[in-house]
This record gives sequence, C-alpha cells and structure tokens, in this order.
Amino acid sequence: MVTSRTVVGLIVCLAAGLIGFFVFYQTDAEKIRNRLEILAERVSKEGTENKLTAAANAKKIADLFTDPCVLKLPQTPYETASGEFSRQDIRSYAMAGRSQYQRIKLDVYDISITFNDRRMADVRLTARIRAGQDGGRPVDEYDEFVCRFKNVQEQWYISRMAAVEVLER
Amino acid sequence: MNPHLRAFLLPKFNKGALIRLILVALLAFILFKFFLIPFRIQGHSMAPTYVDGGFNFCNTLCYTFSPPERYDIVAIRLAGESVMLLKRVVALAGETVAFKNGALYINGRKMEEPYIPYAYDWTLPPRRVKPDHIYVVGDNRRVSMRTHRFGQTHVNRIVGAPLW
Repeated sequence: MVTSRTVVGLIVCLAAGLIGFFVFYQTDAEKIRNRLEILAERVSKEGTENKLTAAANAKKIADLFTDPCVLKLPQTPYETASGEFSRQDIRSYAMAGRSQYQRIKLDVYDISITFNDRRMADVRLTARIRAGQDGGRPVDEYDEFVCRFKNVQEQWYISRMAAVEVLER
Repeated sequence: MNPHLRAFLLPKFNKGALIRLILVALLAFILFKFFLIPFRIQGHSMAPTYVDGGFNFCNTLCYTFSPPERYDIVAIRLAGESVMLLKRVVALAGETVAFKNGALYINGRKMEEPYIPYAYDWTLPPRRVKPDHIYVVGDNRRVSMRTHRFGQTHVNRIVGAPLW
C-alpha cells in the first residue's frame, strides 16, 4: 500500500514538474518575442504622463538595448536617429519622442528570428506606430525592421535596429 | 420551409454532417489564409481608387503564371503579410521613370493616367528601375511627394492583387 502510494506520488510530482517545465520554460525565440512585446508595451502610452513616470518609462525602454547600440531609423523630426547611441542617448530620445504625443500604440507583426549562434540572433519584423494628441494630426506609420539581438548574461538585448527601405525612390 | 432546403441548411448533426463541417472549415481556412487573404484598407495612399476603410481580398494566385503589368494594382508585403502596401505599378524593370510638373514619364515618354482625375505638381528626376524590380506609386497625388511612399521594390515582395 505504501509502495503504490509512493509510486502515485512520484507520478504526480513528475507530471507537475513536466507541466511546470512546459508552462514556464521559454526558448530563446520566445524570450526574444517577449522582449519585443515588452518594448511595444513600454513605448505605448494612454494619456499624458507626469515627468517622473515619463523618465522612468524612457529608462525602461533604454534598458532593452545594449550600451552602445546602432540605430538606423526612418527619418523623423529627430533626424539624427541614425548612428551609434548610448543608453543615455536612447533614454533622451525616447523621453523627447514620447512627450510629443498623448497616446502612443506600438504594434509588432510578422516576427521571424534567425539564430547566428547561441548568443546572437537576427530578427525581422514589421512595426506599426500610431500616435495622437488632442487637436493634433494623428500619426500612423509602419516600417520593416531588421534587428540584431545579443545575449548578455542570459538576457536578450537589441544591439542593432535598422529600418528596411521597402520602396526605394 | 421546404424539407429539402431545411435538410441542406440545418442537417441532422450526425457523423456525416460533422465531417462536412470540418471539411468546409478546413477549405475556408486554406482559401482565406493562402489564396484570398482578406485585408482592410487603411490610409489614403490609393484614393480615389481605394478609399480608407474599404475591404478587399488579396488574390495571391494573380501573378503565378504572368508578371505584373503596368497600371496593375499590387499588394506589397513588409516583413510579412500582416501589413501590406497597396500601390499601382507604373514602371517595369529596365525602364526609366520620372515625374515632370505633375505628369508621369516612362523612358522619356509622357504617360496617360486616366485613374487620376485632377492635376498635381510632382517632379522627380529620372531613375532606372533595377532588374527584377517594379516601380510603384499610389494614386493619391494630391499629397506632397515628400510624404507619399513610393519607389521601386523587388518583385518577390508582391503578394498579389486586390480581388476587385
């Protein structure tokens, strides 16, 4: 009786362990997708933020990038958004960019991931940003990006992000 | 209701009906996932031909046996098919395209564009379309050339054409 109870207990523990493993274990591809979801969440906002919250959110955005990282973004009012940037730079740009609008929604689509090795991955995606403010002209922009992610101490960071010129004039 | 019609529209839920239901669902999934991709038009880039908020399907088999021709409207993918650009082909590989005072020129010849019922003022110096590329422009030329997305793209980015 004791033996069969022990066996049943072991089976239950094993099943729980397996379920836990499959539920909580993330592959590197899932981790990268998760980082992109976090980026989209942190860029997005609903309504005006006070300066402290805005600064904290800008820091959280910058924390997703390596220091330094290379950005080649579509032409924006901040025309210098191409080149090598430190986290501090990204923080400043994120703060300035997000403060221009009351509402921002970033969505990421069609993510495809190619691993170069265990510590580096190339990611291709479409990003769509919608932004607006009361009385202002709404923004609805979409672009294709290629990003390079680097694994530093078991965390994936964006080390390069470049817009793809789909239509070349 | 006619019993035959009733039996067709509301069949008894037996094994045969279940199989038919699964087959219809499977065929619909394949058809609308790969061959007739539904999409909603957002933006004014193709106005007045296609207006903001319109609904259509992208026929992916359209260019299976023949390449796109001038004046065709094509759907161009970005990283995938979740977001596509709807544009009109104005020049093909090897041709030279230019705009002069609101008129389209291909290989130095002024082209008729009956789908644009108004005058516009775009000017763009001549440029050659690369091999395996097409040159696409939206129909809405009222907007500033600076803000309008147009240019050449590789033919492998063409997903298909709108169904209507």
